[in-house]
Order: sequence, then C-alpha cells, then structure tokens
Amino acid sequence: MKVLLRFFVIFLCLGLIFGVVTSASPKKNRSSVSKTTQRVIVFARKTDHGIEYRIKKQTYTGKDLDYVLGELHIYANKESAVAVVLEDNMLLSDVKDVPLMALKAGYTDVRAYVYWKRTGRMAEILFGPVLKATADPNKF
Amino acid sequence: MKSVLAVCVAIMSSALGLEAQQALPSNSRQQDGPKETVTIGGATKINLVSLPLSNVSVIQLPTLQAQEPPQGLDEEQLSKLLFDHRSTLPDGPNPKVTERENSMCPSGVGNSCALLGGWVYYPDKIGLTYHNKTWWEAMKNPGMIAMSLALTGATVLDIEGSQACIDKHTCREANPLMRGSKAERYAVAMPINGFVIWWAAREKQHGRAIVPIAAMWVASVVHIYLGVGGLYQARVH
Repeated sequence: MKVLLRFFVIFLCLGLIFGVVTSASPKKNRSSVSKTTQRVIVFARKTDHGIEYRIKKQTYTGKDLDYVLGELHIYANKESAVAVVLEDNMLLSDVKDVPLMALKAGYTDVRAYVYWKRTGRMAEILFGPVLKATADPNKF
Repeated sequence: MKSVLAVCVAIMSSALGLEAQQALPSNSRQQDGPKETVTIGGATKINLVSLPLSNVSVIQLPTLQAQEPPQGLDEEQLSKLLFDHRSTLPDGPNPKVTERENSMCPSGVGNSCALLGGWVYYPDKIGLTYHNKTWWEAMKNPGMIAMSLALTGATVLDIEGSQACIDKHTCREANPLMRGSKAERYAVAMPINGFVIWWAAREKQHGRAIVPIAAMWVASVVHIYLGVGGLYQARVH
C-alpha cells in the first residue's frame, strides 16, 4: 500500500510538472510559427544514380526529400497539398514513395501525376478501389 | 497608254458631272416651273404639278443628346455596374465532394490505399512522426509526454519493487549501478531517464521519433517486468 501511494504521488508530481510547464508555454495563437497553405510540387525522375527528386530547382535524394518535406510541413496548414510529378521512365511501384514520405511528414492531401516527356503532357494518376488479390470473393 | 487612260478619266468625270447636275433638284423649277409631262413605259401620261413645301407639316424629331447616367452614377461606376457584376455573381452549383472522396486514400482510415502501394492508411493523428520547430514543441507532443510518463513510472515501479524485494531478503540487485540506498538509485535512474527523454524529444524534433520511442517502450516494459517481479517476490515470501 505504501509503495502504491508513493507510486501515485510520483505520478501526480510528474503530471503537475508537465501540466504547469505546458500551460506556461506559448499558446498556439502566440506561436512564432505562421502556417500557410503550401502547394509543394515534387518532380521525380530516374537517373543513373537512382531516383532524383526536385523541389523548386533543388535536387534531393529520397532520404533528403523525407527530411525536407518534414521541415516544410512545420509551416504548412491543413489545406496544404503535395503533388508528385513522375516522369514516364519511373516504375509504377515508385508512385508510393513520395506519398509515404508526405504522409509521414504530415500532409494528407497528396496527388500523383505522370509526365510524358516526349509529348510534354501530364495526367493525374487516379487508382480505383483496392482489392485483395485472392480467388476467394469473400476476402475482397 | 497613260494618255488613253487620262482621256477616259476626263470623259467619265465630265459625264458624271452632267448627271449630277441633272439629278440635283431645283427649287425654282419645283415652285415656278411649267407643267411637265412624263411618259411611263410610253403608255400613260402623268401631269406633274409642283407642290409647295410650305404646305408640308414638319415633325420635330427628338435630337440625340448625351444622357445623364442614372442615379448620378458616373461612367466608371456604370461600367462596373453593367459589366463587372458578372464577376460577383455566385458560382454555379458544383457537385459536393466529401472529404473522404477528396482524400489521397478514398477508402478511408484503416483500409488499403493504392497511392501508398497497398499499405493501410493511418494518418498520424498525434503527429509523432512530424517535424517540430523547437525541442519544446516536440516535447509537448502527447505521444512524447505519454512515453516519458510511462518510462518514469516504470522506473519508479522497478526501484520500489526491487527495494521491497531486497527489504524482504528474497532477492538481490543485479545491476551494479543500482546498488546502494533508494535515494542513490533514484539519483542514478532519473538523470538517465531525463537524458533519454531529452534525446527522444530531440530526435522527434527532426522527425526521427520512431527509434527513441521504441527504445523508451522497451525500457518501460523491462522496468515494469522487473518491478512487478520484485513486488511479487516480496509479497509471496
């Protein structure tokens, strides 16, 4: 009983410490971070060294892009969106890379486009419903 | 060739000039001239009598004058009223798209998402993977606070359980850092916890929270296991 009481007291103290410090911290409306609606466009293409990503003429590798998207999201509000423009030399399996990074960074509005270099046209990639690859119709 | 052209032009101009003279109405001929007879088609003869123009009543047509803009509007305001009002008209009704349909994963949370390569879509509601501007903002994350409290509580449980067990002489402390009085154990364990929490928040600030959170989770489980084991041994024996 004594142990449980001590346990409870320590938790209470920790809760008070966190609560007081949190309430004393700057409020959201007084925050120095001003969030704006961002439209991030990521161009992706396959090179000899692997996949190269480009935002505003700056090229990044996959790991760098992951970090950059996270840093950009600090200043992004909920209406912000990311568009991924994949060149036609990319694999279909590469379409998920940037959306996964963007989702991890905090963006929820992510769109993917394919860009045909020879014709200079592009189109949004819209998938249909996801089905489970099984012969059993009950498991779709 | 030029002389021929010049002669042709002279003949044409003289001919047109004669016709124009014939076509011009002569007021004096209309008023005072003798009766003339015109033959139409060579069959009937009509006597033309001159009609004095003073007998014709004159209708005064309204002259076109510059109209004043209605209600005192100047040209610019009127132009805005007439043309620019279209831009202020409400847009036509658009089909409403639900938030779910507009999402990157239309199947919704907890279902497979095509854009994620078939992975299940779980947006990070508490923002544990998000970057933060400052260490303090990273620390304020609910996940970080919960994990910090869990680690601290599990450490307390471990120390108290071990102490209870040692007091009953049913076990001994295996960790060389934790040998000593209870105050010494707290003095060792809490700074280590503090450092781990500081490191975790720092990693979380840069979007690398997964490894420290996992480390804190494993440490908490081990602490709880040892603490509960110590309490159990102290109670049983």
